[in-house]
Amino acid sequence: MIIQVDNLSKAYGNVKAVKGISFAVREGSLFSFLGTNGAGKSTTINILTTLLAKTSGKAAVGGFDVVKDAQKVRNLIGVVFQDNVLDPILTVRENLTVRGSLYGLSGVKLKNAVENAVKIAGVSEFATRPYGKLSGGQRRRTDIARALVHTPRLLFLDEPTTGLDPKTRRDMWLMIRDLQKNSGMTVFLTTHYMEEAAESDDIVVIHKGEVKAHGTPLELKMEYCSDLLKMTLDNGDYIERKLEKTTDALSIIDGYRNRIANVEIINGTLDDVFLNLTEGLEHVD
Amino acid sequence: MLIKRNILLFFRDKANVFFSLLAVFIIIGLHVLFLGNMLEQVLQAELGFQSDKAGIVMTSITLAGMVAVTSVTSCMGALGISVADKKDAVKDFLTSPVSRGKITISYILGSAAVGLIMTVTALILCIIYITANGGSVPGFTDTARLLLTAVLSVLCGNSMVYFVTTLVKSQNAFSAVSTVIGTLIGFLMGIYIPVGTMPNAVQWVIKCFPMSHAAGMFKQVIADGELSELFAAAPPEALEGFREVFGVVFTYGDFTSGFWFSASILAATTAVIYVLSSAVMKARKSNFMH
Repeated sequence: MIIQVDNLSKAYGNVKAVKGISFAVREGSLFSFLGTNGAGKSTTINILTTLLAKTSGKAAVGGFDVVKDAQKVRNLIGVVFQDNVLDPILTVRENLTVRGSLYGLSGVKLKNAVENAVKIAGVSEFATRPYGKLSGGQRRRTDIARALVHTPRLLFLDEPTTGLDPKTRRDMWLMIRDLQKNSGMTVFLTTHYMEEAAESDDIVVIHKGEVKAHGTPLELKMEYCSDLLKMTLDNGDYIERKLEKTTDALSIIDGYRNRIANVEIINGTLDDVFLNLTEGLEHVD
Repeated sequence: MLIKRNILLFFRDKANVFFSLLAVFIIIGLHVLFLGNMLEQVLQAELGFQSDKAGIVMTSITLAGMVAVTSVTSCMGALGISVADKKDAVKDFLTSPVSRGKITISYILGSAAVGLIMTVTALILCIIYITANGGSVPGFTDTARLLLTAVLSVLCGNSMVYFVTTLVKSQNAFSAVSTVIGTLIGFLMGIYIPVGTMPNAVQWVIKCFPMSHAAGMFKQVIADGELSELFAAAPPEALEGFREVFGVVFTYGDFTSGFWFSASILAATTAVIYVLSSAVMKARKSNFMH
């Protein structure tokens, strides 16, 4: 387990942002961390990336405690932040060189590390342009190149595709998938886009500071949402049924065999899972 | 590498360079427009006779003050980067294994380097102007004294501005403070208006403001030679009076500050402020880990 979180809590004064959450992330996996705004996602990421002190509980990255062995953790992780953290008036390559030096790299080693990151993240075309003059997608790529400059074992991506156009988003996503598959690097992702989370190996849904669900996309779909059968009959009647299993539809359709005008089965999506887990719970509260 | 970054960030941002020199441009503008003439008349009245050297002597005194101002305002521009970084870039630094002390030192040294480059450039321009207009070329000892003054002036100015950055949290607050400092600094160091013509209380403020000593040291090296030539025929009290009025030296009761006394003031202030700054940093408990 590259990340192990046990009963982690964080309070800001009286406000409890994270209330004793526990989860683990497998080495080499693509892990999605879902939650609405204010669910405690950022707080958790900030603790795991050694930015924020925790109130209680334990969090370890690569076997190192995020508080006691913060320096060791920092060597293992690369972080792509939501905001632009690079210098707008420096070029892509200058930015990567400056940030690479933060890991104790220098001389030829630093140069090689920068060129490697430039290649992997595909930023060579605009490597000599100032970061501030790049498009949103190019900037994101540069952010990723920066996070990869010291070849981390674990990459944190905090809503990496927010604000990007659909094509750039897809390209970005393909790149992240490739990276994770080819290099065996673990990717820890937060996102608002469910179709992105659907491709991950594991998902944790966090809501109001608590873990509400943990599993593979398929497991979550099975547990938290159902398929829907919609039928229109030849006399104009409309029938809608929730299905336990998709195959249950067969027997229902069979019963109306000769009278059906139109049949539709809608698969439950992760969007439904997410809404059920967050909105549904809000009603119970 | 971080130091290099901070220096690059300053010089690439043309607006930042311009605004950190704004106080300097104001001084030059004021001098050209009316202060120069006025001061020249004051000097001639003091001397009791006409001298064609009076103009250049007054200009050297003003330019010497300008060089000292440069050492503060350029550090202000350079340390603005550390304040701007508090918003976003700091997260990137803090999730990296680089030590926090190194980050802080890179701001201070980067800014000191910027200050030194700007101050020495201003100094060279100032000497070129003065010698082109009939002033004398500084010899080896004077050049050494000028460089020492530049270094001490930058270190002291830098420490004061750094102390300000430890107190402010946002870039807006820092620009507001910078504007105030940029406007006041010319008065505080006794450059816009001769120290001796100010009310007594204000004179004391200027005398106690450490950076006035940097201005005084520059004035001593740049203008003293010409001054003693000018005042050769006048009684010694006249020269002493003039040096005091124009902030070449400062008197505290019977004591008159000299070059080395002023140098010690700058060095001591620098040391005290860094101690203070680290105390402030320690006292500031933040949620962020260090």
